[in-house]
Amino acid sequence: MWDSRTGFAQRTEGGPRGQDAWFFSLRILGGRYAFEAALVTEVVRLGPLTRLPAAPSFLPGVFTHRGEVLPVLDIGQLVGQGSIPVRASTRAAIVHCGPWKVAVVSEAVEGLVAIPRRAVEPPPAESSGVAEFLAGVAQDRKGAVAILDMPRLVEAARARAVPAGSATP
Amino acid sequence: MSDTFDLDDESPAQQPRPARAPRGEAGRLVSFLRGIAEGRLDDRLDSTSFEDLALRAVAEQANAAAARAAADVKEARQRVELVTTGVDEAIEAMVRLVIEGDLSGTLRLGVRDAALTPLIAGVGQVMETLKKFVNEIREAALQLSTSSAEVLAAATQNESSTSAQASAIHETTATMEELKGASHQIAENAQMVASIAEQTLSGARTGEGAIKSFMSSMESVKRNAVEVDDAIAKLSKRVERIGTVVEVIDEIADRSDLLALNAALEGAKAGEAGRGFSIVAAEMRRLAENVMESTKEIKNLITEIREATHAAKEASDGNKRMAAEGEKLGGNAMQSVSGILSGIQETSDAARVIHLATQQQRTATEQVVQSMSEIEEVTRQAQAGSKQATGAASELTSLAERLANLVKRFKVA
Amino acid sequence: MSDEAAQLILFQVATSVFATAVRDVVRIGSVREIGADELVLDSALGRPYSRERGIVVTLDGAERTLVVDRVLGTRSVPAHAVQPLPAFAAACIRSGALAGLVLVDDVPMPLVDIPNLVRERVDRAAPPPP
Repeated sequence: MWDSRTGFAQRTEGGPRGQDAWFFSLRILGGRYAFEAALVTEVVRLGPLTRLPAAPSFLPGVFTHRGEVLPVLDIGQLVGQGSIPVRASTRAAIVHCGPWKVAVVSEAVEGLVAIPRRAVEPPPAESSGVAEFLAGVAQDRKGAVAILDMPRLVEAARARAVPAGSATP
Repeated sequence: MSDTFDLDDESPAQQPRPARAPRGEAGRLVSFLRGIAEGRLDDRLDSTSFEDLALRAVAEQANAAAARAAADVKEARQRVELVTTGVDEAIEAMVRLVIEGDLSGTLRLGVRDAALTPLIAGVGQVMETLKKFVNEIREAALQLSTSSAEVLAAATQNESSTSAQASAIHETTATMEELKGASHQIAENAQMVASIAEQTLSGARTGEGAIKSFMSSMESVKRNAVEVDDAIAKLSKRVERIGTVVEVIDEIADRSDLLALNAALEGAKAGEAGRGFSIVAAEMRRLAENVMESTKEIKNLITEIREATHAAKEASDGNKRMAAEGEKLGGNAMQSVSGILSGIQETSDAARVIHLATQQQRTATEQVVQSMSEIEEVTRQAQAGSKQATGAASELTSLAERLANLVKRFKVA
Repeated sequence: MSDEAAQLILFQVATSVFATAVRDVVRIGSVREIGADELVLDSALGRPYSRERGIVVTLDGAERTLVVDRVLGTRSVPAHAVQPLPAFAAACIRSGALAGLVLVDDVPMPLVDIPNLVRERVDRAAPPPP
């Protein structure tokens, strides 16, 4: 179950039955995208961002949460499919991927979804856009959901870091 | 002769019938007297037959009376006859006189009688008077004839001349009536023209007034524009001066700000030691910032004023142009109006002159017509009078003729 | 104030406020008196709207002026308010112009290393663009 204190999903007796896995679903790019729920520590309201000079476009800025400064990751900007508008109500999911801690901004946060692992199908063959980072696709009661490989995505983002001396648009 | 008389014979004189007539000699006497009374004067009594001596005497006297009466009567009768004859003669003579008209002689009667003398004298007087009368009448008739001829001639002439005059007058009157009518028409038209001219004149005057007021308001606009220009110029100068001052202030404030900043910087670098310094510097910065805020506001204001001034200047220029244009237009309009006015004035004057003239004429015409009517009336009367006169004259003439004819009969001498 | 306090200069370029350590700043100058070649107008911080103020730094012995819109003033913050960039951000941003973040009133503010910023600007400007 969801433990809001520790921010880690606990597998309890009441949890998913064996083969199911918890995913955390967001609405971005007009679709349902989910990733390993274990990566998510918190869902937050974003608030005003501080823009960072010389930052890449997928890093719209940083904000403070509980005394900690967190960077914001815009997957839309990352895959070149528009940017997610940041408003007062914008929700982001704080995601831990190894050493990286980012707040993934979304249009809406759906929350935990349980999807059987065997229900996860291979992603489509395209390697452009967000498909590049898909681990698979699945269906649940609410419809189709794309399974993101978040760690890979974040790493790829880091790899696209802007070289020193460039000005941010 | 009868010795008896019937006492019952009542004469129409209704003599009272005595109770008993005396018989006898008295009766004889009485009847004798009666007879005499009745006019039998030729009766005589045989007085000797009377036995009564008294009665005899009476009878003798009665006889005598009767005889006397008879004689008288006879004489009278004779005289009467004479006179009658004389009168007859006189009458005849007078008749002759009258019929034949011969007044030349005197009346001579074949019969002489003293009783006829007054008659003859009277008739003679009558004849004389008649003669005189006839003469006079003849004279008068002659005169009358002449006069009446003259009058007739004159009357005839008068009649014809008055007739001519009357017709001439009538013609004149008719003409005058026409003239009156025509002048009435003219007067009316002139009146109309005059009134139209009046209206146009007043309209033009109004227009003139309006144009004048328009021109004066253009004048005002121009004057205003000049004033506005002056005001704007002054304002601009002031604004510029303010701007200059503000620039200076700004400069100073800026420099102060810089100083303060650098002071703060140094203070910060010095760390704790420079803290007081930093505080003062911060204060100074605040001051400088305030000043710069104010000057920013002032600069904004100046910009606004400049813009407003510019707009005002443009408006004023526009106004000036408009005023100049308006003046020109007004001038043109004025000229036109003046032209119209003078034209109208002339027309109006002319119309009024015409009107007055025609009015005068009308009055005069009316007067003439009136006079003519009067004359016509008089003439008509004269005509009638002269007709009457002619008639009377002719009557008179004929009368005179008759009289003359009448009088002609009388041979006066 | 703790003795570990950091002294900063806060300044504004366009719509963003930045902080820089006072030790890097030579002085704050008026831009009007400075020649164009000494001016740094276009930087990673953005393009200032006006040319009111310049932050003068020394780079390789020469003075360079970073043109900013406003110099807000000095600010002293506790040492712990000065933080490095978050790991991900630091990994994504390779520029030396961004030295870290400063929490000013709990709001993160970029801590700019102006000499680095100017240097990177100069280095970028010097070679012709590819």
